[in-house]
Amino acid sequence: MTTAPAERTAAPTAPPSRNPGNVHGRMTALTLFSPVRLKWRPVQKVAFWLGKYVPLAQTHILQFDFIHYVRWTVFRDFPYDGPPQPKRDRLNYPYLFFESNFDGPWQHYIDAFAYCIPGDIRFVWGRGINFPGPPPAEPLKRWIAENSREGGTYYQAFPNTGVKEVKGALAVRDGLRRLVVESKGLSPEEFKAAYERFLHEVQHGL
Amino acid sequence: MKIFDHDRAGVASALTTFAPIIPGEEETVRELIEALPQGEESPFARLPQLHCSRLHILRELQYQGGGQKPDELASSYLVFTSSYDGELDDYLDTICDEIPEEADSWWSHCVAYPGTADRAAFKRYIRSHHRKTSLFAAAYPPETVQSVRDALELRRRVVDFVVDTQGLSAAELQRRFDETFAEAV
Amino acid sequence: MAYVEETPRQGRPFGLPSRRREEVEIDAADIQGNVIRGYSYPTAAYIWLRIDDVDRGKALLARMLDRITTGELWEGDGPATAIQLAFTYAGLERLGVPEDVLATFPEEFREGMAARADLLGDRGASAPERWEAGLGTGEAHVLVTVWAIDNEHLDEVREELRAVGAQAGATTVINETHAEALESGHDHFGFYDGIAQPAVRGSGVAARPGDGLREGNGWRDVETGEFLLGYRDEDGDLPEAPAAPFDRNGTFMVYRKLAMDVAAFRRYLESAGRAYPGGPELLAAKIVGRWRDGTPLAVSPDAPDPDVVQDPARINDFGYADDPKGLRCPISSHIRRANPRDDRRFFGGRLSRRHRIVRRGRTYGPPLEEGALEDDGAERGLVFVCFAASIWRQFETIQRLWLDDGDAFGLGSDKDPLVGCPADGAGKLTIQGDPPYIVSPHPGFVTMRGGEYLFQPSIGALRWLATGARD
Repeated sequence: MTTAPAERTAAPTAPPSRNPGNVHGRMTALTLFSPVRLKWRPVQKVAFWLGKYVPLAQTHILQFDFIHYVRWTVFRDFPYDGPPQPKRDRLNYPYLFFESNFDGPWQHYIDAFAYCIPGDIRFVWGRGINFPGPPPAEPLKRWIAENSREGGTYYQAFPNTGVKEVKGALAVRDGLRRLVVESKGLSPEEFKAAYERFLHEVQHGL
Repeated sequence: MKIFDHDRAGVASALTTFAPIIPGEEETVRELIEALPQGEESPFARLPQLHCSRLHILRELQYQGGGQKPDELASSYLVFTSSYDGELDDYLDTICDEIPEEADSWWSHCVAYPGTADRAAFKRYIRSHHRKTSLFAAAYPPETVQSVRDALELRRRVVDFVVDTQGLSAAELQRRFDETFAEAV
Repeated sequence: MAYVEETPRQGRPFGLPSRRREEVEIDAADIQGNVIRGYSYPTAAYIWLRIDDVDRGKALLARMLDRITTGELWEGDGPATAIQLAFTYAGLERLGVPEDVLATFPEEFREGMAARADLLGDRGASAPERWEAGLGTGEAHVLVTVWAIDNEHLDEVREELRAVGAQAGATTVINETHAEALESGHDHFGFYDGIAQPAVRGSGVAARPGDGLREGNGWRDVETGEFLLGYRDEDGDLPEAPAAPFDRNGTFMVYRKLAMDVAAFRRYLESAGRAYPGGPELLAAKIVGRWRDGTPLAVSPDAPDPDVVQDPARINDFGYADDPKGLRCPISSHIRRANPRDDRRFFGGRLSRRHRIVRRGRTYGPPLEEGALEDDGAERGLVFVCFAASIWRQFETIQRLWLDDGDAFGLGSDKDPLVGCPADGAGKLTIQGDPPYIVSPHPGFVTMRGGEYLFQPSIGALRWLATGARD
């Protein structure tokens, strides 16, 4: 039997609004700033440090081919430059600053993490306070909507070119270079065969 | 370049700065940065090594509820992040060369900002407000802005070539290929 | 090899409902039937009403209440006519739905389709400024869809609506499309259309392999809540819904009248098909993803196969996980874009399962004479209709990200080769193969004539709208 729905009188999570300051062309910058439990901090530190040498980011987060650049930074206090700044802002917790530059609306981006690598998300953010670890995805999206930094301005050198398109173009470039070298001195038939092999190899980029 | 530099991913570098805003000037800065044109007209378009950057204001921290001790910020911060090619020093030089007025226009509302006119002081200011990255990852680490642009252009030419030469004889295909791409790569 | 977790067993968030696949009972008497069942009547009409007088308009709706077709099973062949009602946001507002309830409807529905034309790719000849009268202007309040066993019965209902509405000063018909099925049962481009529909849990409709979601070596139904509010969805909880009485047994509806330039399509197939090594019929199949008779390329890439078409267990039983390069069914082909199934880019369906839609469209307009390569001036095409619990997440994702763009598939800005409107009429289609073949330019063949976002309420909500009475 179906269950009665909960009260849903609040306006639901809106689809991406126009020009919220972190969207340009096809790309979105998602910036989050969230507290981390103190006890978890050393584990997180090691994981980030390791991430530079073991290709965790590559196989986990970058495998979706829609993230251009992504960073995590953790800190506990903000710069203090003296008056008229009232005081140095010291925080009760270490805060995780996360900024990701990716293709498409952030809701689809979150789906990818929530449905494919939820463990990674829970590991990095899950020791935050009251963080709704995926799955499911909808509570996480609500959390993101509340925590996402809006406003300001966003610049991208290639706002309408996604990661897949860039990587496809790079594959075409690299394949073409090999073909130019390889094709020296070939007969027309041999060249045509080499050319068609090249096309076959890089067709995902054409 | 340090060997174990967490601010690097291939040729790309990360800059993450938090600049305290002079109390009372938050609205001015907000209006200013939100009025900046996007795309080719953007001042950031004049920085050739810049892949992407974001400029926004952090006013308060989101309270997570539950057992969290609330954190209140006494100041607002102008947050400027960049993913750019090469060395920070060169990037800051480019900012001073290409967009000094714009940079001054928003940072002048921040406490103790020296201005781009004093280049050394400007660089010190940015470096001291940079927060070191714990982990920075890039989708195409060896590629600069220019190499990406070149690859996209080359691909366009390859697609055009494919369309133009479908159905040609092998000899004609080879002739056209040599004509078109011998110098291209 | 991509790193993807199996559904984790430990660390389940507190309070997450069990994911056991329980039986779902849809409250058939309270839903409007065409969400869970397609109607195969030979003729139908889409009648758009503007409410001129609120009280009289409500009285008219109240009179129609007991003729609205519910989800209950029909006896025998069913009634001579079937009727469903849906409302635009402007219509709900006109009918006096309170402000605080209106505010709970999603933003894209409140904005309306015309305001989102830039997102949906409705540009140039498809832009709202060029739409048919009555659509996209805020005038359209109610959509009455009528199906009938013949045009006599259809005309009776149409006349009644027109006359009674006008006489009472209650409503005016501001737009109408007559949608008669083609004799061949195909669409105007000559394809057997409407084969694939999501298998909806609890609908009572027998699912064929391929209708649902890939599970292991087989298929499972799609959760009810993806298409009906008030039931569990694929995320494991109830979908976001407007406030009562719209929170259950209703759903969102998308209407798009798409004019199809059959002559242009035929001319294109002739010229581009002559150059294409596989010939015009294969080119047509590569564009759609199925041969004209409905044989999926994924199943039979070299020729149509009547044995497959005639076997309900085979006609839709396929995926794309075993064709990652698109060598059998091109990455760009229409059915692969509109329903990526278990394509590897979508991680076995994990990233496609929340973007399904129930399609209930119909062809309209007379067929173009066989063999004709010049347009005869008659209006023809497809009235595209779909249902989903979230217009933005389901319909708009497909239209905006998967049809009007190609980046999700690694195709840059290549648009759907069948229904896409390339900017500047240029466009290109890459047909993967050994070697690949690129068709360029690849023009558009479809123009948007007008559309709206609608809400199709439950029977109980209809009663409340018409009479103010709650169940």
